[in-house]
Amino acid sequence: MNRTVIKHVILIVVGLAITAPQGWAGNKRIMSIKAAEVVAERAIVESVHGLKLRAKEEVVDMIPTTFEGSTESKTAATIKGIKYEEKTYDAQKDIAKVTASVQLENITNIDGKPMSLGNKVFKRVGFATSTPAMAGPIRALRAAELDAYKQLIKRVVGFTLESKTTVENFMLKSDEVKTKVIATLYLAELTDYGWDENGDAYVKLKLDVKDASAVIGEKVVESADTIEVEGLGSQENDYKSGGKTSAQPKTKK
Amino acid sequence: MRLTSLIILCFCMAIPASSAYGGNREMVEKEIKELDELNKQAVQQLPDIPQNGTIDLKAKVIQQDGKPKIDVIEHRVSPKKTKMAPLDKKKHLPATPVVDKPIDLGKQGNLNKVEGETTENEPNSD
Repeated sequence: MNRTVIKHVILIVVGLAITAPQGWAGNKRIMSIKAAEVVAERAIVESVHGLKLRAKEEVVDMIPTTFEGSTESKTAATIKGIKYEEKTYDAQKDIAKVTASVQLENITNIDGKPMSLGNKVFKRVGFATSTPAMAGPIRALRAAELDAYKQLIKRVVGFTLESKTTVENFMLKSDEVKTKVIATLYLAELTDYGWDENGDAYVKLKLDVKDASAVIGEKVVESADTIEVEGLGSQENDYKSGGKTSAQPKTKK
Repeated sequence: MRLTSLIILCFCMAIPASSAYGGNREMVEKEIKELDELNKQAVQQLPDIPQNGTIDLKAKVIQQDGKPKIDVIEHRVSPKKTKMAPLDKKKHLPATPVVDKPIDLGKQGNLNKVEGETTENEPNSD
């Protein structure tokens, strides 16, 4: 009799131990969803109001361990009317996904210029987690997003190249190559995103050059009608030991 | 049976773990290659590339018809000065004149021997 009771008690305890973490998940779910909402809102602000971006790359003697690449972005705006179209939460991975959209007639961009958006719908996606171990793919996605912004700016306004080159018997040897870009960007549209089999993230952004040119009121250097770029981001920095290297873009909001 | 299941489970966990997180090596290498090519393209636009030396360059790069268009804003070329030994006309070594005459390959011997002399070891032709 006693044995049966003990068996039942053990079974109940084990059962509770297994189900408790899911049953009493605490605020993880809410935190992750809220964070994903904020990330999606930031993406909307970056698309519609625009963002300031400063990026530089530097390499010495063409040695990968000396490569230093950093991208900083900044944006701030008050936008009304952002809608959350879809909210998904993966309890097992503690990852939340929120799709946000906005439809506006006019907006003042990051440069303080009023822009007519003609009620065009801008849609962006945000991912977030409250579990640090699961943040890798999300960080890689943000790195890919910043890389895509940087590429768009490089195509739209160009960039500065600075270098020191040695010539030996008419043979060129790049000693030091630096690129710099500081610019503002608006109206970038997300066309695709995801992760490949290695866990590296990609983000595809599109910019309608004619629209952008009309809105900005300046001629864009690119001759194509639309510019489409693919930004890449990785979860791991292979050159960590080099100390100086940071290929994954840094972010500043 | 249990052991087999355990091995299969370990394999299933090991395979995705080894292939995950490819890192940024490939991206960095591609970026470096692009930077190197772009810089060489910019330098080759300069009219005064020395045989040996260094070139400091600043350029504005824009995209035009899918290709980079490089406008060099400023550049400084520093040719490498090769040090030549000063030639002293008074002290330079006298050049040895070359005598044109047939060389008898069978008669090679002591370099210090004066022509016309015979040595002890040399067989006398008389």
